[in-house]
Amino acid sequence: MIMMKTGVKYAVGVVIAGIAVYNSLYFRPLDEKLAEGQEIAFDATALVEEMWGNELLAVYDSATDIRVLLERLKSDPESTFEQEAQALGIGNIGYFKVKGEGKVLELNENNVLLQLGDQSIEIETEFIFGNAVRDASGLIRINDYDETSDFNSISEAINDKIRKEVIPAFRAKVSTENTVSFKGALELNKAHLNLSQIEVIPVSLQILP
Amino acid sequence: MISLKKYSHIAQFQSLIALFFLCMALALMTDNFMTTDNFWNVMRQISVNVCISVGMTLVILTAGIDLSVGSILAFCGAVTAGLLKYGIEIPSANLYIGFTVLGVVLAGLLAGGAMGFINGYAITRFKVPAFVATLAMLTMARGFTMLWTEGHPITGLGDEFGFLGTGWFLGMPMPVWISGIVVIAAVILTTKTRFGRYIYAIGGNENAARLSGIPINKIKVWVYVLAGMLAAIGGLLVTARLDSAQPNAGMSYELDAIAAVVIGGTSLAGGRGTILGTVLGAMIIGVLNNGLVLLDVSPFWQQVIKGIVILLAVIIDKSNSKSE
Repeated sequence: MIMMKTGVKYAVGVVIAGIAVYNSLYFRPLDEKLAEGQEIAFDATALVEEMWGNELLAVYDSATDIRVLLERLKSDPESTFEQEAQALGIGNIGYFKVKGEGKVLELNENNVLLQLGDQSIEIETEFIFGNAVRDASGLIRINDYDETSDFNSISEAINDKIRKEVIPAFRAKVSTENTVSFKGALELNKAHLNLSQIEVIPVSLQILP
Repeated sequence: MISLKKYSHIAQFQSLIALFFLCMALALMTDNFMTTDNFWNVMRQISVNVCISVGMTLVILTAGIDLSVGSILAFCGAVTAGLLKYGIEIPSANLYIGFTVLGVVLAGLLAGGAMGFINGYAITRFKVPAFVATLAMLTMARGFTMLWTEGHPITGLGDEFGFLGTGWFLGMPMPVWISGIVVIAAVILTTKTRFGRYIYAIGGNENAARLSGIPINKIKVWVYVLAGMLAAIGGLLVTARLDSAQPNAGMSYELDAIAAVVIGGTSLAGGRGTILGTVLGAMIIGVLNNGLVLLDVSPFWQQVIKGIVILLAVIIDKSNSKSE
């Protein structure tokens, strides 16, 4: 009797384990799986090329005037961050789309200093790093990408395009006393808001006649 | 002379009072604490600690300790995510073995159980102190996690798996359901089964338990296996919630688990304590964490305050013990 009970116990166990394994695994030919993976390999540079003009720059057309933004940040940072900033997740870092016009004060090795009214801002021309342009745009969302590395590579591709196409043409022509129109991204920390040193990563730079 | 049952009731009552006053204070001091959204947010956040702490309670009840649960959590989360995303490739047989969500959940539990078994085996077979054996596993599991993930997060695990961490079922978040089931199972295990009575007996007096014929080594190994599996459930919840297995997940989670157990009235000397006390302890820690964030207290001060709360809990535990 006891033997029979133990036998039934083991049999039930084996059946449950069998059902669990059957519903846990599936098998495919490896070459088929690898071929499928290659078909969907991610190309960040191609994506950025595709979206640069019609989507990315178009989004920056609706950027907030930087002087208006800075005034709002001075008077009510909380609601300005809430209304204007893009953020990747929770935290104090916010990314803003900004535009404006200013007179060139200084041509520095790493940036161009512009005067906008009583405020001076730096247009970065050397160290184009980080995710400010990608995240300020609000176009590219992490949840749309399976791999974090794919998501990060979009920023690399955007920054690379700015370094190779936006900056050199501008630096070659700009001189002090020029008036420059710019669009770009600004990264600010709500908890340590420093509005005395504003650094904009440009997506578009024009020397006005 | 206070009986074991009465001691547990006193400890739970103290935890309940502490939780009540903490909630009242936070309700008065912040605008957002007493909201439905924040309630579920806190419950979701403590779910992981509840799972780990339940395992830690079983271990501490046997007068042991498990420092490896945070690393096991990370490893099991990584194994789960890796198998779900990449499966197993066997080039020599031109075979790809894919895993369903059920498959990776079972694989994660198996991995956690295996690591717990190694802990338990080292402690019982080679008489390695639990502190040292689990400290070694803490390092090993973290190393295995880094090797498995190559130091990078594994992301994009799909909605079906994400449902375990972010989904709602019958008006309650899935992590709360899962941790609730874990708690009910653990309460039944510790109060209604022979295995549970053995755990208390071993922690109360190991020699007496041995002389009574309790298979101490077997029970201890199973306790560490269960602790490992519960850490794995914590790993599944974290990974599903973040849709990402982070190689540095679970850092210092063992300390929060030990804190929840101690605050919940379980004696570090073993043999005394309850699962429900631990749940209250985890809730106190969760509410405290949430309240300190809502009050915008610096993370550095948060650590200090949590340390003081743990110290107070141990002092109260000691004073309760003296009155026995």
